[in-house]
Amino acid sequence: MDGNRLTVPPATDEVEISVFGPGYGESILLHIGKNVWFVVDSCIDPLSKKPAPLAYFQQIGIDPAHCVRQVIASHWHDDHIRGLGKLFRACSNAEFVCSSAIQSKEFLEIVRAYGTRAMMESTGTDEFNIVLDALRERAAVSGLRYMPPRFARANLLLWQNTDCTIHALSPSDASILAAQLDLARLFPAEKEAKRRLLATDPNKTAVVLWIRIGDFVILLGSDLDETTDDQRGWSVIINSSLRPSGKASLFKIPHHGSDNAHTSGVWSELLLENPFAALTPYEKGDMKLPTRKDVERICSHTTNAYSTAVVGRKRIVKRDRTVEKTIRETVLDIKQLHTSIGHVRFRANVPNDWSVELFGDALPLKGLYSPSL
Amino acid sequence: MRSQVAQPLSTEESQNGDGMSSLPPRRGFLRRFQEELRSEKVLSYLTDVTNKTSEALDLEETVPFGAPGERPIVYLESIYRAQDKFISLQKWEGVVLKVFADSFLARLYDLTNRGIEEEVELPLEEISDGDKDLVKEGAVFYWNIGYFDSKTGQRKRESIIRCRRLPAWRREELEGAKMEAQQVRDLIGWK
Repeated sequence: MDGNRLTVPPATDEVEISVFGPGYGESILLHIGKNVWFVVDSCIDPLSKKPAPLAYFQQIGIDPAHCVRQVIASHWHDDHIRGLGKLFRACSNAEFVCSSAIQSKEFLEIVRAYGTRAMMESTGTDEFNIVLDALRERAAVSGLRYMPPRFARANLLLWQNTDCTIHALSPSDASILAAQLDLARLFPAEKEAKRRLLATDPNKTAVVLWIRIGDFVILLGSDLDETTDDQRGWSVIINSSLRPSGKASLFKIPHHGSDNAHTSGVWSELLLENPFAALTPYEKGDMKLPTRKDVERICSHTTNAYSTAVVGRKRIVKRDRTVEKTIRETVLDIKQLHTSIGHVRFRANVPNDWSVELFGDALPLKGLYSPSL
Repeated sequence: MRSQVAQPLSTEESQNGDGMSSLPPRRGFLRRFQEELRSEKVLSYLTDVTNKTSEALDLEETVPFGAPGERPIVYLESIYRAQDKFISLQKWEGVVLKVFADSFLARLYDLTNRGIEEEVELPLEEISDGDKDLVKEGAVFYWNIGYFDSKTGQRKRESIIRCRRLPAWRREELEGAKMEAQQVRDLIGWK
């Protein structure tokens, strides 16, 4: 990351939302004022090899052990939990929050089975195993001061002080039930060959957050998808009579801007006109998010949208000529992952509106497929 | 006559007081033969280019070979043979992410330069027939690029992909995981 102002921490009365994304991964930092911070999800900074929030805390001189109140894992997906274990360990006084979808005993059984017995690394279960071990250590030494994990579900208040409230808007009861049935199927069967566990589809149980700080409202959309089932996805949030009132001026666009996470009701019912918005791109195989159409759609709703990274940039690792020649003869396609990271930083003081700063690979969304714009 | 079967030689047997050999010629031959083999890196006494071994055999031979029950048994020390070898230039561990009709998508973790991650689409024809059934989502494989040096001195560039064969889940493992999960659950309040 670069930029002269990057290392300047927010003022005590300044609100900050920092969105990090290396092209595969996402992490968000929230400063609600008075040096009180929250972390949502984790990704790795390819330069420092640390969880991106920890690298940033180090740059701005913040001690996560004292300043972070909650570490929130919005859902169990590889691109949102890389480095989560290390991050939670560093935030040694923070509460751990995750989706109610993984509250079941079946989830812990899967984590324990794959974490210690599968004879291979499996990012998802490994990160959660580190979190479980950290919780176990804290439970052993903290006694009455121990904070057990908290499980987010629709319309649950996760945090409150005089200046700030944080509500979860999802997952819905129907999503939690469906996810728990899916989890029960993931536990390996006796005599089944061992292999690495790949999380199936946790997006429908992702935790969407509604944060009110004074007059500011922020909507963090995680990876929540829309569904045809009116008891799940975004529609159940839009139609809920229990969700907090108001409209947000800042939006973390869900699921990397993809069409299956888009609902026009979000823009009309939950957001102010022309809100500030940010997304993290996602690339896996042929899948590139957001697509050109996604960018056009989002830019039709706001002129203040930003991306943490570019898409479609192909980097090849430089190697011995013999190796390179053999790779060329063997593969259909190859590219290096996690080569750089971008950071979109929003800051605001009441009554001023958001100011935006872009670091690393971050850029305005309208320039994602036309860098000259 | 003593047994003709060669026995390990003790120090007392092998030398007299002045350090000179006092053994019968047959025993001297055996000892010297063993020493020659140790001191020279003999690939094979049959192809010994220095002829030292065969000279020793000629000079010291006193035992009538072929006489019933008197054939000496000669223990040759381990013999080096030229072998095929693979010199690795680049290694990865891969995880299959998606399987298509003729190819598969995988995440590669560089084992030669740790910390580099890549995504690759490989044709299924790169996988040997014996491993093809193992290419499933979540399967782990190793990809090795290097030189194959044959024992005849030829060098070939090779790409070898091998799927990792893991044992099946055992009942005890699964029950152990469930028990551990219950303990952790109770301790940290995951409920």
